[in-house]
Amino acid sequence: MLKAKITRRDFLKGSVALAGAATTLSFLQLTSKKLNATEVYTPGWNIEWKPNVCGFCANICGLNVRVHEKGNVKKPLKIEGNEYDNYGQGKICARGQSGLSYLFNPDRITTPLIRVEGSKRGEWKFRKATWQEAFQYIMKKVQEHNIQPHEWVFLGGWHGCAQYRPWAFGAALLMEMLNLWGAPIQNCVGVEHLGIHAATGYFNAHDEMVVDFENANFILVVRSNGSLAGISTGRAHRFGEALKRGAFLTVVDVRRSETAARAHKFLKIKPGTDLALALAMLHVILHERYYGKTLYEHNLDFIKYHTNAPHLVIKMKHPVTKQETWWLLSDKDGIWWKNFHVWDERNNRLATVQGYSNHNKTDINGNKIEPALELSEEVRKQLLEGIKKQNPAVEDVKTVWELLEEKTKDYTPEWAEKITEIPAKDIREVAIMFATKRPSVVEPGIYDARYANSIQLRKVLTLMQMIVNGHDNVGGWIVGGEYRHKVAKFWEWLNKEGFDWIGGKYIKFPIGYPVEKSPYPTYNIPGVFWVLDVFFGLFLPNAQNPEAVKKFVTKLDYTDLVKSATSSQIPNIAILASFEQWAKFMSGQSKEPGVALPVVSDYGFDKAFEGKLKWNGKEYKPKAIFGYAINPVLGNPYGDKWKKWMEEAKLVVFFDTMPTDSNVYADVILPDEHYLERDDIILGRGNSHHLTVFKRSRVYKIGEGKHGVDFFFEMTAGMLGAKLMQEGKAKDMKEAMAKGAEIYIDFVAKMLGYDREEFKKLVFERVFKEGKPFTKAVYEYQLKELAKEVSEIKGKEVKPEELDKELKEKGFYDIETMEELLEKWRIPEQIPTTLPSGRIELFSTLFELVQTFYGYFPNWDPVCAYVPLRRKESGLAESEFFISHGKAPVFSHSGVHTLDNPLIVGITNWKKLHKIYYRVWMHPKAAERLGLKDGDYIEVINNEDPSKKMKARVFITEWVREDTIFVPFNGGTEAPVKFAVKPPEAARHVDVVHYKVEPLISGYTRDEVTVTVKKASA
Amino acid sequence: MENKNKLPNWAFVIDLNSCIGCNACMAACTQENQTPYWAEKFRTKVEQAELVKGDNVGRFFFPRLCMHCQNTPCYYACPTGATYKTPEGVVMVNQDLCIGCEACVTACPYDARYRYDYEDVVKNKELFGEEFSIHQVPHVDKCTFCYHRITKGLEPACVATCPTDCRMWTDLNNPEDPVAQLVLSGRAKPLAEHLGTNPKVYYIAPSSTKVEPVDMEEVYSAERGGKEE
Repeated sequence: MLKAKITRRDFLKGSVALAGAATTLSFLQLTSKKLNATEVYTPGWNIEWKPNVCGFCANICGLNVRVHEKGNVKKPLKIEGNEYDNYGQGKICARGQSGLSYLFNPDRITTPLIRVEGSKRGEWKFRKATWQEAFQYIMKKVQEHNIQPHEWVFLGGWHGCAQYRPWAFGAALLMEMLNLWGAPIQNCVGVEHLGIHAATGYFNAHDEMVVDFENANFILVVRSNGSLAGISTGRAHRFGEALKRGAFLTVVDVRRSETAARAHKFLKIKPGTDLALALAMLHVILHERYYGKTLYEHNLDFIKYHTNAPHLVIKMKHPVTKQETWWLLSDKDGIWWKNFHVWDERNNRLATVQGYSNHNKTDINGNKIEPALELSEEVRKQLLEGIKKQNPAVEDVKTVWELLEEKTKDYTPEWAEKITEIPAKDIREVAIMFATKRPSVVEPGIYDARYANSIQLRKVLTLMQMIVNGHDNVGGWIVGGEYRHKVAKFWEWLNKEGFDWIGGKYIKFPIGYPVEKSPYPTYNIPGVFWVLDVFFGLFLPNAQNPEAVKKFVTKLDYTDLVKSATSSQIPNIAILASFEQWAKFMSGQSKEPGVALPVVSDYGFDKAFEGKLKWNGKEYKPKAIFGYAINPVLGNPYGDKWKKWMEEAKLVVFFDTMPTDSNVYADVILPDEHYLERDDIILGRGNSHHLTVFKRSRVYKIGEGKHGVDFFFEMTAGMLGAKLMQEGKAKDMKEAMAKGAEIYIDFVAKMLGYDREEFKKLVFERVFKEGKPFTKAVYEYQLKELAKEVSEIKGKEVKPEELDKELKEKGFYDIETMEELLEKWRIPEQIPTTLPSGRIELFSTLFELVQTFYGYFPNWDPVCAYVPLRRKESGLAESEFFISHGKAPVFSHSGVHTLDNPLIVGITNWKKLHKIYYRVWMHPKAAERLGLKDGDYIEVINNEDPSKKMKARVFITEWVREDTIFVPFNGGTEAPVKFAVKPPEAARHVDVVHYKVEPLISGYTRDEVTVTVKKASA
Repeated sequence: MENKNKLPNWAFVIDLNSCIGCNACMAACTQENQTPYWAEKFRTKVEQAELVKGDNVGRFFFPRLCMHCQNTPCYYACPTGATYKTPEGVVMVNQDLCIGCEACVTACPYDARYRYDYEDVVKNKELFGEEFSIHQVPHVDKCTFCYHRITKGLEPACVATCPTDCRMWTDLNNPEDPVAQLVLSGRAKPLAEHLGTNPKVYYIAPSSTKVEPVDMEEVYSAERGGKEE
C-alpha cells in the first residue's frame, strides 16, 4: 500500500489552519474557501459559487464560477479553480481564467445560421434561423443531392473524441458515416502516443496515464512543451511541485520552450533527431556498465515476469517481401497469437505461456517456471534444431531481451552525436542520471505530429521508462483511474465468463462488432483493444477472412479485403486509398508506401475530393461535410485544400461556438453550447490517478445553443426518421422521429451496456412526454447506475439523490483513490495490459501484425530502430532553415475560442509577449546573415512544395538554434472575428507546411522539411 | 501586544524555480480586478528575459507586482493622500481622491503603477456592466494584494490560480507557516534591496546548477534592459 501523498498545497493548508487557530478566529477563515462569499466582495451583491469544468482543452480542469446578482441583473464575473478536482487541484491556467471572456464574446454563434441565398462559401453571410428551419434545410439538401452515408465526411475535434465519444461515434456508426476524420490520430493521440500504447496498451482518448512528477527525482522531457508548461495545468501543477522540491529536469528541444526555460540541463538538439538520442540513452543503459553493475538490475523481476522480454522470437523471411526479420514464436489463430514460448530455466525446457496474461510465472498448465532472459549458446542450438524441424525457414532464435540488446548495440552515444549534434558525453551523462536518479520519469507528451520517427521515439522512451522504473508505480507512470477501472472490469468479466467466446486464453478481434452480437458492451472494451476492435470490426472486417487476405497478399487485389462493416460495404476512403497505394508499392509501381493503420485518417481525401478515387469502377467522391468543434482550415496541412473541398461540396454543416476559418465555408452552422452553458451528463475524469466522475451544471445561458449529445440525438433521430419516411415505415415525421430516436437509443444503450428497455422508457418519458432534453434522461440513467456501482465499491448504499447533490454542489465525485485502486489492480502486476500478450510489450505484437501485412519498415520495428528523416540534412543554403513549431501556453491549438478571446489577446499583445507568441523565432546570427532586424517582415517558403508559403514577422532571439526557425502554431486565424491577431502580424504555420505523412498511421510530419526565408515588405 | 498580534503581517513569496511563464496570474488578476487588458495594462505581469552566458542562453520568467514597500516612495509622493496604507501595511489607492498627477508612477522604482484612464472606465463598464464595475472614475491603479479577498480569508487571485504554486501567500506573524519560513530564514529575498524600500514581496532565486548559474538581480536588470520595441 502506498503512502497517501501530501502535496505542498495540502501541507500549507494544514499549517495555516494551525497557525490561524493559534491566533484569532477570523484568521481561521484562511483555511476555508467555503466562507460566505458575499462578504468577500461589495456588500449588497448576492454572490454564488457554481462548480463547472473547463472546456478549452482536454485537461478539463475543475472550475468554480463566481456569479454576482444585484437587482434583476445576474452575471458570472470570475472563474477560479475547483478544489474538489483532484487532478487540477484548484488551479487553472490563463485560458481557464478567460472562460467568461469567451462566453460573452460578441463574436460567438448563438443561433442556427443559414447561408444567405446567393452568397459564396467563404463569405460570412448568414441569416439567423430556428433549429427546425436549419434541420429542414439540411434534410432538403440531403434529399436533393441524394447524399448517401458514405458520401459524408464527418470531422470531429477533441470534444467529440474525449468527452462525448459514445454519443457522437454511435451516431456516426448508426448512420453508417464511416468517413470519420478528426483530431485524435494524425495530430495528437495517434502520432504521439502510438509508440507508448504499443508497449503499454493504453488508449482512453486522453491521458490514460499520469506521470507522478511529485515523487520523481529526474524528469526527462523530449519536446512535449504543450503537455507541461505550454500548458497542461494538471500536469504543470505536479511538475511545479517537482521543480520546487529540486527534481532534476532535462529538456531536449530545438528552442528554449517554456519547459526548456526551467531545465537544469538543456540539450539544444538538431531538429527531428531525438530518436537517435533516445536510442543512444537506451544503449548506455543496456550496454555500458556503471560501477560494475547494470543500470536496470533493480528492476529485473519486473522485466522477467511482467514484460514479454523472455518470450522467444525467431528470425524468418517475410513470406511476401522476403525481408529477413523477427517474429514472436507463437501458435497462431489466423493473425492472432494463441500463446507464447519461453525457455524455462527451472526445468530446462521450452515452456508455453498463456496468450493473454499478466505474467510469465507459470506455463499454460499452471506449472511454475523461471523464464530466461538470455539463452546459453547450447540452449539456443538445441531450440533452433527443434524449431527448424517444424519450420525449416527459421534462421535463428533469441529472447526478446536478447534481440533488444542486439538492436541497440550499435546505437552508441558517439553514433548519436553525429546525428543529433549533442556531445556523446552529455548523452551518456543524461542516460546515467536517468537510470540512477530514480525514480525517474519521461514526460510522454501530447501532440507530436512532427516527424515520421515520432512513434519510434516515444516507443524507445517507453522502453527506457519500463526497463529502469517499471510500470504503474510511485514516481513513475501511474495508470489513470478510469482506464484502470475499465481494464479491471474487462479482466474480471473474462475470468467470470470464460475466454471461450474469443477463442481460448487469448484475444482475437473483433470482439465488440457487430454491436448487436457483442457479448461485452462494445464501448467498454478497454485500451488498445478498443482500437483494434474498431479497426478489425468496422473498417477491415474481412481481415478475418483468409481468402480476402490471400487475394491481397498473392495478387495485390484488395477489393474484398477493404469492404467495411456497413450495409453498403463501401470502404472508408483512407482504407481504400491506402490499400490502393500499398498495391502499387508492392508491385513496384510506386516508391511511396500506403498507410498501415489508417483509422480516422484523411489519407486519400485529396484523391477522393478531386474525383480520382474509384470504387467498383465508379467515382467515389464525398458530397457532404459535417464538422463538430474542429477547424481543419487552420489545423490541418490540407488547410488550403479544405477550403476548395468545402467550396465544391453539395452540403457543408458545422456545429460550433465561434466563427472559424472553416465554418465560414458552411451552408448551415448550428450553435454548440459554451461549457458554462451546459447541463451536462456524467463524464469520467480520465486523466486522474483516482476514479473520479464530473458533471457540469449550467452557470449561464446566452442564445439557443444545444448540448452536443442532444444535437447528436436529434440529428440521428431526424436522419433515420427521414429514411423511414422514405421507405414508408412511418406515417408522419413525428412518428418517424420517434422511431429514429428508438433506433439510436437502442444502439447506444447496447454499446454502453445500459439496460435497453429501462433506458428507452426513461428517454421516451423525459423527451417525448415531458419535452425535456435527451441529456436529462441520460443523466438520470447514469446517476442510477453510478449509485449502484458506488454502493458496491463502498460497501454501503449510496443513493442517486446523494450523488446528484454532490455533483451539483462540487462538480466532482471521487469514487476510489489511487491508493485503493493500486492495491487491487496494479498493471501488469495484478491485471494484464490491454495488449494482445497482456504484458508490457518490449516486442510489440501490434507492430508485428503490421509487419505481417506490409513487410518490415523501421517505422514499425517491433522492438526499436532508427528511422532516418526524409529531408535535407546538411549543406543548408544561407537562407535555408529547419522548421519547428509549437503552441503558446495561452492558446488551444487552432481553436478560435482562444485566438479570438479578448482577454487572451490582451495578454498576448502586452509588450514582448506579442513577439514571442505570434512571430517567427530566428537566431541573431542567422538574422544578421539575412540582413533582418527584429520585427521585419519575412516570407517563409516550403522547399518541397513552394506553393506553401507564409508571410510573418521575425522575432530575433538566441532561444532557438541557428539552423532552425520556430513558428508559433496557428496564431493567425482568418476567421471573421474582431479580436484575433491576423496574418501577417501572427504567423500562420498551416500555410507553410505541406501534406506529408508517415506510413504507420498517416501521422503528419509537419516539420520534416526545410524552408527558405526571405525578407519581405511590410 | 495582543492587539498587534491580531494584525497580520502579510507577505508574498515568488519561487522563480517553478514559474513557467503561463500567464495565468495575469489573467486571474485582470478578471478579478477588472484591469484594462484591452489597453495592455496589468497590475501583475510576467516579464521574460534572455540571459546570455557564453554560448548558453537562458530564458527566465519574472513575475512582477506592487512590492507593497514598507518604506513607500509612492505614498510619500502622493499630494492628495489618495495613496494610503491599510493598518496591515497594504498600499492602496483611493480612487475618489486620486487626481491623476502620476507623481506616484514616477516615484515607484518597480514600475508597478499605471493610469486607469477615462476610456478604460467606460470600456470596463461596457464589459462588466455598470452595476458590477469596480472602477467608477479615472485614477492611478495598482496591485492591492487583493485586499478584498485577503481580509476575508482568501488568497490573492493570482496565488489562488498559479498552476505551479510559484506564487505563495503568507502571514509572517505565523513563523510555523512553511511559506513564512522561506522569508524568515532569508531564503526568499526582496528585489533590489539596496533601494531601501523594504518590500513585502520576496523572491526565491532559481537554484544554481553548474549548467546554468543564475543571479536573480541579473535577471532583474536583464529584464529592465531587455530588448523592447
